[in-house]
Amino acid sequence: MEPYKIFIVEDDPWYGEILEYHLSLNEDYVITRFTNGKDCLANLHKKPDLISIDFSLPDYTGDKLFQKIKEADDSIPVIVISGQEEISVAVTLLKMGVSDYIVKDDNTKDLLWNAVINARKMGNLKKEVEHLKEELGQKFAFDKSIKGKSPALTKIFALMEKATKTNINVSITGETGTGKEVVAKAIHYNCERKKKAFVAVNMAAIPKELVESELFGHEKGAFTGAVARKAGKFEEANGGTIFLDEIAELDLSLQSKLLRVLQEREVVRVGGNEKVKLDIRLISATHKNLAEEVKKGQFREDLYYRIIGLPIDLPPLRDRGSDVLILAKFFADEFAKDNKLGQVTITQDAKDKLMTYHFPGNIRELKAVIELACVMCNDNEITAADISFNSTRQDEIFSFEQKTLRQYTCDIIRHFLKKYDDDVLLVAEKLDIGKSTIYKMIQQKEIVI
Amino acid sequence: MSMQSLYDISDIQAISRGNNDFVLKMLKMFVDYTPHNVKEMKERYAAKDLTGMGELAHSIKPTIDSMGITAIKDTIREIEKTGRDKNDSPELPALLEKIEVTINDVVAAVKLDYPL
Repeated sequence: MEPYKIFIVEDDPWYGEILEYHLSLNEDYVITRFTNGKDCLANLHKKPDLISIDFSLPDYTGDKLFQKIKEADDSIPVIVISGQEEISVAVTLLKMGVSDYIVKDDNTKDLLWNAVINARKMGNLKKEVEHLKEELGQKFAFDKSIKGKSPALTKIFALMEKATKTNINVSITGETGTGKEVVAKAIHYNCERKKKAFVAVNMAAIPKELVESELFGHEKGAFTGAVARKAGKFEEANGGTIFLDEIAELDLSLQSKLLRVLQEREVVRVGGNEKVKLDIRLISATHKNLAEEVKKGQFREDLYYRIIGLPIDLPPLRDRGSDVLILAKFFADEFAKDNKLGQVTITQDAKDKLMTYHFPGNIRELKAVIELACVMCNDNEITAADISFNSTRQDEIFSFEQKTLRQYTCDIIRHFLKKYDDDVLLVAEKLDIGKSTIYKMIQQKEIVI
Repeated sequence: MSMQSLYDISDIQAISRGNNDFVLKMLKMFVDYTPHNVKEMKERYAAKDLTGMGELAHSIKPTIDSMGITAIKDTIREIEKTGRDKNDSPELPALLEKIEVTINDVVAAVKLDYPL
């Protein structure tokens, strides 16, 4: 175990000696004593794990020294020991962020002993949280969280990269199951806000009457059942990122409240007056076309422009070509690992079957299909027979609007061209039509590539 | 131990957990520093610096407590409070004298009792 370095800043030699001796009874502690604040500050490069300071030093008062320490390294917990018994001094210091405040009396050494144990426990927890956040960040590295190499996805990576460089709001659109939340998390965990919270709220999942207090918090007694003050999701996300999924589901009256919060960069809890300053990045997502919602009067135009920021439109899986296979292998490997199945392979006929399906449920559907195939397959080999599609929207391609056969033909060719990176010869072969048919459609601008 | 009732170092012995070197170190510190601090406290009073006098009383107080010098436990607190309140009291010279005499007596006793 690494030694736990404690600085004691105490100008009274008698008291300093007692504190040093008492704490050094724990062999893990390495104590360094200073008789003034200046010497303590000059030695902060030695990275103490904890500092105990006397409130009345010859060169600094406790609050001033604490402030200086905080400016140099705000991760070091500081305990203040003081002869001042006034509660207001203790309250001020605790509000400033000191770990503990101990009044000098017969129990000081024991109180300090316990305060050090508590500060150490808290420090260990903080380190653990930091470590976990770091791990989470690694998990959400672009190439680890989002699988694929298609041109459509490469464009998305480029946009995400740009999003991480600034604090611009981001709006993500895309069909259900395309990975909107994964993209939001990847942006958060790859930008400077990664050490702060990522708070995701699904607007469609919260009952209408609770949305306001859920987002903005409430004061005690604000409404029946509000038994205590509660911070809202915006406050929770302060310093970090708030992800508002299915934002199009927000009703008009709440849209205006959200707009005010975004404009003023501050939030007032329901039933309260106190304004809480906000420093957040907003990432919103919807499977709906927000511009259309604005036209229909379902979404405020001013809010639309406020949240649109950097728009990222996620392509459906059917437009991502061989990404289907990359993702299929990834999901098979993950499932096999989680269930200790050993290596699972996917045969060519299974791959062909996957490539010819349009995946209306997108990546979410593919994951379900592969996991089921892993369970159903024999000898850890997924064949075409193990792949079964159970989408509730098999006929979706024909259900959007009424079209002519010629228009459907164009749609199908356009879809396959996207899927096979505009390779006309390959598409002609896959659809069993003449390549000249496709070239003619392109020439007549029925299809644009 | 001579003049045993003047001081009681059981607190320091408890903190030391049997480490006699630590006990002797603390006693030496008491003998070396406390009379000097008391003298300075009296000088501050003589210079009408009640705040300075109170601050010194404040810093001497834990030593008196740890050394178990019960005879002046309340006296040092009275001086500290007088200094903090900046309230010059006619009793102060007598209180300061009591502190000085008692501390000098304890120092003499400690020197007799321990090989410092």
